[in-house]
Amino acid sequence: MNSNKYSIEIGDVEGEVKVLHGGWPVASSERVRVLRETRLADCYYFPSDAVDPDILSPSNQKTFCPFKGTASYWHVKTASGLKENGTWSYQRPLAEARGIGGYLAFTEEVAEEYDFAVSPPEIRIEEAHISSPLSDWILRGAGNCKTRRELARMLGHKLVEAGIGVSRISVVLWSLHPEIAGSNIVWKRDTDEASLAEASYDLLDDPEFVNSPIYYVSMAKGGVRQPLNVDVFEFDYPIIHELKASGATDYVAMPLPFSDGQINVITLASDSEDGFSTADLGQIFEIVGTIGRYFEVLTLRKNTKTLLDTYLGRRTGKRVLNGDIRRGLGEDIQAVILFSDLRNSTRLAEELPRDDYLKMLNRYYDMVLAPISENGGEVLKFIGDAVLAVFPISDLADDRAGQAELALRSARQAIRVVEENLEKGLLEDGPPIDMGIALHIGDVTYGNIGSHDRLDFTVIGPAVNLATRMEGLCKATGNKIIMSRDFVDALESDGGSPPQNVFSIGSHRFDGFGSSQEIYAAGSRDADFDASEAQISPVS
Amino acid sequence: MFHLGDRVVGNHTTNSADSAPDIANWLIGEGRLHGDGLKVVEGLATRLVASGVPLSRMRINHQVANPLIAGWSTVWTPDGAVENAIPASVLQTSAWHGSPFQHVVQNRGAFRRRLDNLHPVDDHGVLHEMAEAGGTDFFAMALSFSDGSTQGASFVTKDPRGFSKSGLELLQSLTDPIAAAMEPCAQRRSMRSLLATYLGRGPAKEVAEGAIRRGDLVHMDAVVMFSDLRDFTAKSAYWPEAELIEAVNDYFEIVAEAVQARDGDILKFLGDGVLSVFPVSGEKNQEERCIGAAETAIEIRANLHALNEHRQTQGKPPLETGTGIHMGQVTYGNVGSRDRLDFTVIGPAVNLASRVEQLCKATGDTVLATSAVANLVPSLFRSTGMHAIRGLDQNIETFVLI
Repeated sequence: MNSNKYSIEIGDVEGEVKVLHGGWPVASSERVRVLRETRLADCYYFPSDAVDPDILSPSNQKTFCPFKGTASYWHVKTASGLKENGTWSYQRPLAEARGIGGYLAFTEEVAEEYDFAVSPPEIRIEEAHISSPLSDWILRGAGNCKTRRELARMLGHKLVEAGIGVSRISVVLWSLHPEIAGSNIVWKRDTDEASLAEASYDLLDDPEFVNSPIYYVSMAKGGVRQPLNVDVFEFDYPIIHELKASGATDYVAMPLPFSDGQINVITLASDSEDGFSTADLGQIFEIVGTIGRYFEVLTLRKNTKTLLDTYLGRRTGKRVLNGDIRRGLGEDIQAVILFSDLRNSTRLAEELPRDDYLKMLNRYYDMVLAPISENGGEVLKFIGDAVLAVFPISDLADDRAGQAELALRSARQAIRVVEENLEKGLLEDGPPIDMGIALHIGDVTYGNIGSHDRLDFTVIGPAVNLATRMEGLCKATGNKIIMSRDFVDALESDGGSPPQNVFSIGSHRFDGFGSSQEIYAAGSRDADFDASEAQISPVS
Repeated sequence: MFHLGDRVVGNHTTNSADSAPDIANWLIGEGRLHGDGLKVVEGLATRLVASGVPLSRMRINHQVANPLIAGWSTVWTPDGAVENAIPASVLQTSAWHGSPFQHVVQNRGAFRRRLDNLHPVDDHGVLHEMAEAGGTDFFAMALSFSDGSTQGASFVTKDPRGFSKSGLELLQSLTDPIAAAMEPCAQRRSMRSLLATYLGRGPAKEVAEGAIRRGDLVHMDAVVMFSDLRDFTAKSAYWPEAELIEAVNDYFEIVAEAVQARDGDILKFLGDGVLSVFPVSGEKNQEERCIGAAETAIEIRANLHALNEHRQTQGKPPLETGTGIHMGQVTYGNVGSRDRLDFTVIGPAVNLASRVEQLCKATGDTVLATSAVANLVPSLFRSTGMHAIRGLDQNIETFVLI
């Protein structure tokens, strides 16, 4: 048997058939039908009156087959206890399986034995080795696809090679991401491109989404199959009409389950004159079960990267993903250290209602983190209401000056927002935020510290401690950005024009650090700053 | 479970070629969707046995991204399947060097050895162990994960005739389906392990289960503990860097071990300090958590004492510490910018614990707690009177750990 010849046959079984469990009948009927499906064992379907309805209780489980349709399940009470999802039925079967509509079939767990009054129908011998270019690719070649888009595109190619007239594939994959609910990858045969669109969590409340086959399948309601060359649609979704308008003749949306139970979705459209044949659907259904593995592996890899980026920072996350996960794996690097602290936060934590305080804290993090990440810095750590970030310095010439400038630019961008808000006074979303930022440059150890199995990938060293100590001077001297002598030297080290709006605030001594050193402050703007914007909030 | 001894005899000619597609389909479909390596291995073994492979032991290994664990191994025998972590240190030992597993993983190949004619020296100890346990034939093969890594599977039989040719063909035909079923389990385990390593166990669980958006947080009671090395910044200015890092790591080790032993979470390393929490939840009430935190502090104190004695023998100065403990309502969850988050605890109770820890410096105590904690564990604390706390209008009573 060739895998291109997928078929379903339904026939009547002669005489009475009983389903036995522990020797006791669970169901019996003289109107039993047998369903023979390629590569599956014969399955017996019983009319609903063959079983005592009292032993059945509804289950939420649904499964989908593209030519039988969506199966609903019931739990079955048996002599040996309740068998969960022990029987299923296609209440509204698709055309190929009309003959078993409303009939019940039983799992092996329930149907330990069948008792046939007349000798049972001959059991078909299954073909042992089934292989096709498509199944070979699924088992071996598909693993070479390094991205989910490439995988969707290759799947399209392989289906077309197998003679299936698929014109569009869409794969919806839910993500584990702070901002993105999921991704939709769409491959179209005519352009042979796979695009990827990401949706925010707003999607889940979007009426357009709620009224889509994706939602229907995601909610574990089953699958959707809708031939488009008919007058009346059973599944009347806008996307289906759109696809029909663009020339599609058939549409199927199926669950693409992952091993954690999450239901992702794959949809396929055909533009062949007669849509998908039963044989096409057979192949599609088979590979969907398998291709899910690759989408899952790629999605998990992406999720892991996202989580590490989110909680450790991008550079650090990458180091961890590459296996730098042992204590002591670290390197000595030179870096600009940025340390920012929220003013009065202990008092605000006491005085503000809890939710207002959290809102304010997040607002503060937005103000500090956005410029740092825009300018290529790495936020390493949240310390209560403080943020520790670094701008690592490469061996490239002038990188000391370059990174120092980027760090100062980040600090100035953050402080300009602070100043604008302070001028406005009380804002709609709470009190204005005040903060101080210290900038220093020095040698740090960048790597894993901690206990054996609980680590922190961070920077440590006296230079880091000095930056945190320096920040205290912001409050004491009334400056919002303060800098060490070393940092200012770095700014000037490329021999260009001296830094603008940077001034000495004298010599200071820090707790734990021996001799005193000269400290500088910076205004929030440099001379190049756009004058029209400067009028809104003049430099103090 | 099957009794192999009874089953093997008379059923040796396997119908394995016929079973291959069924087993492969099960692995790729239903088996994979279990999302549980143990169930995959059990299901696979049961099916192999049913199709006539006289299996007495099967082992599937995969790597895990974890600082201490090299990998994860699932071993099936007729008594059932068990999972074990493989310590990273094993890779340095003879248990790994020269082993069949090392061979198949490094060469991406297969390995077969009859166990009834082993060479006393040339054959690896693993094979001798299998032979002593009654094994007659050993087969191992590489599994290729789609991330490019290579993992391994091994099979042992006690059948006097060993594995049949068709049995070995069946096993080899299943390399890709086994990899398909195991890879998502391995990936999930690695992801959780990385999260636990860098976020702490409690947050790792929450994050892996989807609490990953800013604003995903809960309000709850928790014991909050700040532990800090005293005067460390001053020391850090003149100690050699390697010695500093060693001291910090030794201290963190002691704290993390004690906290995690009582099901607390190490939330954060802060320079030379540690922030840990003991959430009050359905499993543990306030009193249990306060006792746990007090015991943690006692264990830290004892182990630090031992560490300092050891340091003394090496001529190194002792490490001095301060610990502050408080219980109150905290917000536990995600704060930060939209795409760079911190899973932490927030709230006045956290600030107070930190202030109490700082008070240790002034009072010279090593462990101080508030009345919220001490009142629930009166036998372990003694009042040290009222103290002014920075940022608080009223003085509070503090208690020293006895």
